[in-house]
Amino acid sequence: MLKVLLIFIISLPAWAHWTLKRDYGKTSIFTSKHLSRLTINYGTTVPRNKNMNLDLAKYVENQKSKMLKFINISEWKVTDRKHEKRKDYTMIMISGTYKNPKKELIYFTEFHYYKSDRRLQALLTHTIKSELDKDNKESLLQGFKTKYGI
Amino acid sequence: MVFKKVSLLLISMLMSLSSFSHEMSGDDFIQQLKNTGKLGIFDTASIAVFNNTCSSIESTGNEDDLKHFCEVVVSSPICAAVDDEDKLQCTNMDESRSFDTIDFLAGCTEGLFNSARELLSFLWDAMKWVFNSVTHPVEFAQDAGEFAESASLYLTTEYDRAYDEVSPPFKGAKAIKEMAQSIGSLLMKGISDFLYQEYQEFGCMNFRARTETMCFVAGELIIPPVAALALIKKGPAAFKTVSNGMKQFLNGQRRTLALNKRKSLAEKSLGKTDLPPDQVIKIEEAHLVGTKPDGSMEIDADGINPAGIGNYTLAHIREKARILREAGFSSTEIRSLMSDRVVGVSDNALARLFGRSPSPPKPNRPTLEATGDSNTDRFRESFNSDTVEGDSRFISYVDESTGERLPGKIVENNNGNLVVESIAGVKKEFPSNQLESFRLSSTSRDFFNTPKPLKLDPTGNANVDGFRDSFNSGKFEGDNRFVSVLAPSGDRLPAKVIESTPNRVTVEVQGGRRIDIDGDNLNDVRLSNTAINAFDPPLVLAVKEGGDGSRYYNQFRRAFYNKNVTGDSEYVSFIAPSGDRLPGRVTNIGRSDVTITTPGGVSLKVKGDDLLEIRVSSTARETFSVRSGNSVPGVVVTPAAPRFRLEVSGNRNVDEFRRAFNSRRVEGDNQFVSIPFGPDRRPARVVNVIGDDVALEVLDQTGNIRRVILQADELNNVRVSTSSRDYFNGVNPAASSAQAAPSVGGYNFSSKKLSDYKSTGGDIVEVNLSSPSLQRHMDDAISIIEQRTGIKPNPNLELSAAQRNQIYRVWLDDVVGKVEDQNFGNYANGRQRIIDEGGGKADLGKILDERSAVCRELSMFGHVLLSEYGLRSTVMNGIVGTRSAGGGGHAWIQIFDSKGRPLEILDSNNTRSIHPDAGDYEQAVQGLRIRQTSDLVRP
Repeated sequence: MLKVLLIFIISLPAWAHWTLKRDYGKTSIFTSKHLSRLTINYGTTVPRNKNMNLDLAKYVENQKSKMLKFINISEWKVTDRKHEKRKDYTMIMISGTYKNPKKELIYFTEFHYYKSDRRLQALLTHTIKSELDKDNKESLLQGFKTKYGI
Repeated sequence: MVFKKVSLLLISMLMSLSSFSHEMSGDDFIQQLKNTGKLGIFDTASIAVFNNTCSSIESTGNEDDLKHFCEVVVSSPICAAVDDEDKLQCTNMDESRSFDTIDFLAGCTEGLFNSARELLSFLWDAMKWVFNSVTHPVEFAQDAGEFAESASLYLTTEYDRAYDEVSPPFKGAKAIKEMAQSIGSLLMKGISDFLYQEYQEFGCMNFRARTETMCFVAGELIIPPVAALALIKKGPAAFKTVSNGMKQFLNGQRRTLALNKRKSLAEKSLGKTDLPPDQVIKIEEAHLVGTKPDGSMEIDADGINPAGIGNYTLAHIREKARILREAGFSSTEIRSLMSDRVVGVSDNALARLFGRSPSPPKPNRPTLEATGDSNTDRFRESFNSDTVEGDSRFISYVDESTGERLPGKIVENNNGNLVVESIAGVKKEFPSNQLESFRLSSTSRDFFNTPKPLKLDPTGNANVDGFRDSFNSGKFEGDNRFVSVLAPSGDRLPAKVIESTPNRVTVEVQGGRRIDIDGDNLNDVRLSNTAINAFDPPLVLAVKEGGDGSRYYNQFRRAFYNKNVTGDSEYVSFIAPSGDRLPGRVTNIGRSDVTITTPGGVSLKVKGDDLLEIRVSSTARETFSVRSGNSVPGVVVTPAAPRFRLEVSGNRNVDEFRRAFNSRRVEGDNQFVSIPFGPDRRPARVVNVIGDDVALEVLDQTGNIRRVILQADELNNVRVSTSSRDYFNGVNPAASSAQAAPSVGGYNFSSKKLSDYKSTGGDIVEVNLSSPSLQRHMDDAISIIEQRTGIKPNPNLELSAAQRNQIYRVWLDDVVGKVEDQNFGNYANGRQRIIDEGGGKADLGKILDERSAVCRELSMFGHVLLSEYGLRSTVMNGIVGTRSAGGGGHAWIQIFDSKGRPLEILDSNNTRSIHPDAGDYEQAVQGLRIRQTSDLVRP
């Protein structure tokens, strides 16, 4: 009980940072005071060991770019990638830029968390990089990780 | 000043040069138009019309080119039928360039393009299709798919961003528009391409006429969204079967065009400007006399060529005149419409009709008298008036050679001599003086007008031809009922033929939906093993483990699996309906049953759980041999060799075993014995009595269980032992003279079902239960399972499905990752090195130690571990992914219940999942072929 309370208290700053903007069922959108847009998707899968790593991320990038072209998102480019195997889950972070259907340049960072039967994916976007950087901290996602048992 | 003049001159020269035209190929011309962005999204169809019309063209390289393009299109023969009002306006070709596809589709359809939710879902489906179509099936496809799911975040993010920026009302629809434009354009192009294929005049139409036509098509084809997705995936080919509504619409469009053209011609001929629609319709009707429903012309007049201007029969011409007269036209007007060829009559025919040319020569033939018989006289009237046409061609006549009345069709009229085609297609000419038996016949008409049974030609592909043979013969029996069919989405579906007619089959797909398949769609049907397995999965009998003659059960089960019963395997014993075990001979093996014939000649079909009771039987073989010998005089039957027997010794324990052995029923406490093994006597347990041999498990001096077979004299030293019984039943093992199984630093195996194994799949991997490594991994795994589920190992457990599931999940989530190969393909750290170092042989424990286990070792470890929880299982191996390009060898675990019936399948590292049955697993791995039922044998 104490542990749960402690986690809740630790998570409070992260929760407080994001304001729920709109709920799309399995996907929700939050915003920060810096106007970054955080899109969160949580899912469960058949329990299994996932071989999530940067090789896989790179392999999928090409396909993903083609998928996004179908919705008028162009020039989706990855400029940075990070992969960490943690105690019982894997974290992958990729960031870069793309042009949205209105041809605005958008800066993005994706955070992926994979556990045996759980998956949490977050997309952080902003039209101004310096503003995005203020929200581009993994610690600000702690609340979501706790909520979804990652 | 001079410089200024020269400059002006140069500029004017350049300007004039730019308007110089030069000839280029049609393809280059179109490419040039495309490069300059002058063609709109609708113009694919117009380009096709252009390409059919023009191979080269003068190009000016400026705006005039688009006009030239348009003029070529509208003046093409294809566009001749299009009403001027609907034709491309060559002075305004820009309309389609500023066209909003999504607004357009939303206006034409209901649902999909008017619902942001449906459209979002549709876009996501389309994106997933992109992923699947560009991703090769690879080992990590599941992980890749999961990773790529993140693309949906962009869809939601950008939708949400657009939603914030648009003004109400209909914010959702407006927000989605920008994202759907790419797909909208693809759909529009698909519809446009489809229309050109089905309705070429589409390429000639102006913006208004095109949008009206496309709107109808969009409304018909784009709902439901699955059809839209199919259109993106496969293009116009997705709509192989055009709906009736679509056919009617396109035919209606054609008819409207035809009426407009006919009205224009008639008004010109008659000098009128306002012909009423009903008269125009009658003029078109008169024009179509001599045309078959499919648009082709009847063969008439000369009996060879299609009817048409200059080649209509007098009957055709009369019919045209009758229609026009009834429509209210005067003789002068009729003559005018005919002489101007508005209704397709030549001057010569006109002369014949109005008697202005010499009458056609009178045929030199007899006139047939009336008989009083209605059908005979109707034929004779048409013959006498030289109008043997239409239904008058279908007659019956009496064949002189047989006296039978036969149906026939008059196909030629050679001045009264009639050529008649028989049912068999044989033509025979009847002179005009041999027509006495001719009379009209509706039976004959019905026969010839009934569509001929469709015959599908062989292709050389066995599965396609298998279906075609059944279709052509009308017999769908046995496995030939199971086919695969092409769904409108382009996916191939397993199906079962429910009904067939000479021109169609009705199939049932999974879920019970029925589909009629006819015409060209029959070409896509073929026999399918996948369908067989989907609708009638083959029964696999689990391998029976442990004592009680399992060898003989398994001998039959293997034969059943292989569907090949030969030699000794065909002689079995089985449980008859009376409950008695009887000898029999297998005479047929089905997918889920066998037919067994008793020595008395009675055939019985055995299926279901009764199959589990069948075992190969030497008694049955002997019974049939003797019977065979008795029934064939002169054949010497070798009597069965007498069974080996052990003599009574006077020692109680020795004799208890001997009596049990002599009856070949070593059961209960009698199975626990002691035998000489090495320097001393060791506890042992009889596992099986095979003929005169006895298989035993014996506890050796190091505490390991060994498997031995004793024969003949060796059996003299076996005696029943209570110590042995206590040891194997786990009662006070310390009191036993036997040494306990090792427990120092390792797991103490308690399952009596276990002994050492080795894998036979390629290089040998051994399960050595005394291996400290294996024991340590067992300790770890059991500790994790207990921690997660609270379930402790006990080989006598009878776990519920939920408990089994709990253990499986811990196995997949928490145990496999600790021992599986992390460096697959890396020799230095891989299992192959370990096996090579062991001379082609390795200990399972060592492979687990080095985290080098692949599917086979994981399954072996899982098998041993599950056994400790009372779960019977076997390691199976075979090929997975047989329906995809990336198939390969694999091993997995099949769990059984206590009666040997298959339960779950556990895949440790491919799907990493639990499957309720083989069918589910087959789906998950995209096709499965079992190579052998067990990868493990006891050394």
